[in-house]
Amino acid sequence: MAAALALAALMAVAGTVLALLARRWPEDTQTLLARVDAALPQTQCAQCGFPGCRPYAEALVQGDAAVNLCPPGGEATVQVLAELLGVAAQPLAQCAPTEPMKALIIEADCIGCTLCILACPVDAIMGATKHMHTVLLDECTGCELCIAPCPVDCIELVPARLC
Amino acid sequence: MLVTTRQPTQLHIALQQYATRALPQVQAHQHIASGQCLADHPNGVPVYAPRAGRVRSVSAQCITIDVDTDSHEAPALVEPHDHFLERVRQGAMVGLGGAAFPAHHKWRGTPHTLVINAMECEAPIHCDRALLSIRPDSPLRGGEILAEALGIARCVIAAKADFAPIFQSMLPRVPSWELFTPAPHRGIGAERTLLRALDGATLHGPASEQGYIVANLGTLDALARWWDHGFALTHRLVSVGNEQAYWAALGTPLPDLLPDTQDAQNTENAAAHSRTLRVGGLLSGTLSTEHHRGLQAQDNSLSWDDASTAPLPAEPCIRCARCAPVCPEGLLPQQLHWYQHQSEALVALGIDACTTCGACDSVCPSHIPLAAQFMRAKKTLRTQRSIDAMAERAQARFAVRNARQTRRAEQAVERRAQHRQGDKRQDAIAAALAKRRQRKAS
Ligand code: SF4
Ligand code: SF4
Ligand code: SF4
Ligand code: SF4
Ligand code: SF4
Repeated sequence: MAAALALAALMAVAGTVLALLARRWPEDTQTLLARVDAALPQTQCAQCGFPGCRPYAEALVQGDAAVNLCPPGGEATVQVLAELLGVAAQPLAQCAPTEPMKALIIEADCIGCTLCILACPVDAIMGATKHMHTVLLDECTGCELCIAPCPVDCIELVPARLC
Repeated sequence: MLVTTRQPTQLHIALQQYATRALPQVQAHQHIASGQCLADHPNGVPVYAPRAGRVRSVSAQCITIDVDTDSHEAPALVEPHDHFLERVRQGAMVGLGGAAFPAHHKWRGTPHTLVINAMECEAPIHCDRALLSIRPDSPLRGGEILAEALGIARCVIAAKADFAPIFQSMLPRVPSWELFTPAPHRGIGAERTLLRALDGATLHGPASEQGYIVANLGTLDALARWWDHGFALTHRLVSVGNEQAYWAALGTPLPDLLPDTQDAQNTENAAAHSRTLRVGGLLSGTLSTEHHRGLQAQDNSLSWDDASTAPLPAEPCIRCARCAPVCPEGLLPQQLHWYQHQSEALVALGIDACTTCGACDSVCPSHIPLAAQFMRAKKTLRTQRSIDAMAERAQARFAVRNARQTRRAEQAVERRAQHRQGDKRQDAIAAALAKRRQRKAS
């Protein structure tokens, strides 16, 4: 009886220590954060309600966000996130885009206001004040964040396969 | 072997090249001479007019020319460059084996061995057979030019058994060259497999990085014609079906090269219209129902995909392991087949080394289209890798941008603080001044 009690006490102590360690171990959360971030598509479109994939990953790791918020990642990403975080997968909150897109500036119409540069999360736009701007197609993730700020509506989305 | 030339009436010249797209230098309605430069790109090769005519339309993808009835193939209208590789580029030299990779990129470095690849082993491609029947000397001349320009000491003609006698009879012209006839084997024409058979060399990465240049007969023929006669690459041999070949201008509409389509147009035979065309070999080729495009440099063979070439229906793998010993790359095709949808397992099994030669197909008692599956898997893997690489770059660029924004915000706060400090100094001066005035007044 005493032995059983001692064993139970030992297990309780060990369990608490392990649980505390898991909570307090910064590397562990760091690697989890890195893995969650890597599982996101890096479109940086903010459709998840967070200003980019990294912030969404941080919220996920802290348990402050649902796993079904990233439309570019689609159902596949929901599955991976649920697995990584040990929670149940849910259907995607918004429908996923049908195919990858890229932004294209109609250069003849650009007035060089630089608003799109400020909006682009991955520095994929080149240009200078009052000069023509252009999108670096290799770097553009198709996040659409540059479309709304353009005052002359000269940025269009085209399917990536046509670029 | 019947090799014919065709006078085209219209040409649809594609501007897409291996890794770039040439930029047009002509405008619609302009009259152009045969051999005139139509488009160019510094990362690619120039595009010349195969015939004289009038430009009908120009788009980013294609230049369409209405050909003058009496026009001929003519030397390119350019001054040949002195530098070897630049002159190779200028002649629009690309690999005619099927990839159309720019030769001036492939022929860089200091190679020690030139391998002339005369192994043509994928049915129904027979451009090399056609070439050897019309100008057998030309590829050898191309090899001489290349070997001399790059100072290559060792030249090997790797010829399949049918071609060996032809080269044997020409060897006295090039006494120091070797003639190598490897044992016939599926997939022996793949660069990597061929070099292993020749030297036991195991390649990781491009052959050129290990001192080998493997050149196709058609490419060397093109080089000889450019060097000795000034013809840039505006034509190629394309084999049609099993027995016919054309010396055709790039841009010739494919229907003009397919006698059956002409019949179909004449007889309004709808069934023939909707047939599937195979461009390339049985294994490496692509199928399309879109016949109305122009001939491109990589199109080596045209054939109909019909019942006679259709494979028997596939049955499940019985794990007989007959496919493993025949794989020239030492892979386990049955395992690759088993894991065909799992990229990690495929990579671990070495799918990157698979040349999709089809040796495994040929022995499989279940008629499983293994090579076709592996080709698809490799393509999926390539797409996945490029998506991953892009995501990684986006992640890094996003982090850099955020760091910059944070730094700017901090700098702004600092500046404002400094500005306020400046205000404080002004206040101090004002206070001191007021005090001084008071004292003066009292
Ligand atoms: S929705 Fe997805 S891709 Fe867009 S920022 Fe959020 S996590 Fe990134
Ligand atoms: S260019 Fe536009 S669509 Fe492309 S990444 Fe930048 S903001 Fe997004
Ligand atoms: S927002 Fe529009 S107009 Fe302004 S610089 Fe960008 S593309 Fe040009
Ligand atoms: S797996 Fe099959 S197709 Fe691939 S290299 Fe081996 S034998 Fe050829
Ligand atoms: S030869 Fe065909 S049936 Fe036999 S193990 Fe290979 S894939 Fe399976």
